[in-house]
Amino acid sequence: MVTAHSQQLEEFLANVERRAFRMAELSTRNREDALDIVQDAMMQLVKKYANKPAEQWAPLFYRILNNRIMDLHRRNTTQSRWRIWLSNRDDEEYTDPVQQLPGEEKDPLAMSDLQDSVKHVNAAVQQLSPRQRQAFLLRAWEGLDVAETARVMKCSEGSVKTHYSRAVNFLREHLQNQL
Amino acid sequence: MSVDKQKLSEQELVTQIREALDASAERIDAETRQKINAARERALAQQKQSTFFTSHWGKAGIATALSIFVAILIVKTQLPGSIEEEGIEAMELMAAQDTFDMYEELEFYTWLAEEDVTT
Repeated sequence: MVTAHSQQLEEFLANVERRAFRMAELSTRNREDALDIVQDAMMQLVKKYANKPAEQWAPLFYRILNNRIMDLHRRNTTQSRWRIWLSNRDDEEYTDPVQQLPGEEKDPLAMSDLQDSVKHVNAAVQQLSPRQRQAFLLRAWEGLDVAETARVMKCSEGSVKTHYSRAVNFLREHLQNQL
Repeated sequence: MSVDKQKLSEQELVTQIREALDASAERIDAETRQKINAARERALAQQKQSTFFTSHWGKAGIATALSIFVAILIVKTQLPGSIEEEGIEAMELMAAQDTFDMYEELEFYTWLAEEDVTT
């Protein structure tokens, strides 16, 4: 039997899943990792917090999502350091992460203005520090308020404001002539 | 005035970025979209499975099973002369210190019975 609460949960996930995927992809720069992270976040939300009031789902979901993103970021950083240390930066297999930006060639709207904007925005957002990116995406895209964002990021509201402000300044600097 | 201009330009910037991000989310390729949908379905299927244990029927089922278990336990412990019970009692008797006292003072108790002192 599908209850109204279950139906609401399904609608919530359907509503956030694509943005969550893009957030994860912007952070990880890897489609498969992003898919794994989104799936894991959805599983955890349903398993642990499905019975919570619906208005709490968004902060909880993004908290799980961001934890997973940060876990992967830490893991990749450690692996990357080991790889660099082992290869002494001469390893031919080392790839510049910026060159691994997702799916630009396949996009059918590559020539349009909108697609150009998307490309520029993606590139600029990817250049933000992880914390600045989190703060910006949660505040500006997801519409979480400062307090909710602070809970998701596990930091003070002051830190959220600082990260957000720095992110906006960086994006303005990099995008003002390209949007 | 300049502050308003700055604020407005920040709002415009954020709005344009949000539009670009929305567009990128809308234009996720079909294969990836399918995978995301499948992930959602898997997550929700997990909830349907666990819902049984939290639903009224699930709770009623668990309560019934517990009641039956407790009833069996009570009946079993009240059955006279069950092997387990005898074993436990034997252990208790063997371990009880006063039992040894009784054997040691058996003569006293025999005398007590013969003399019928208590009456």
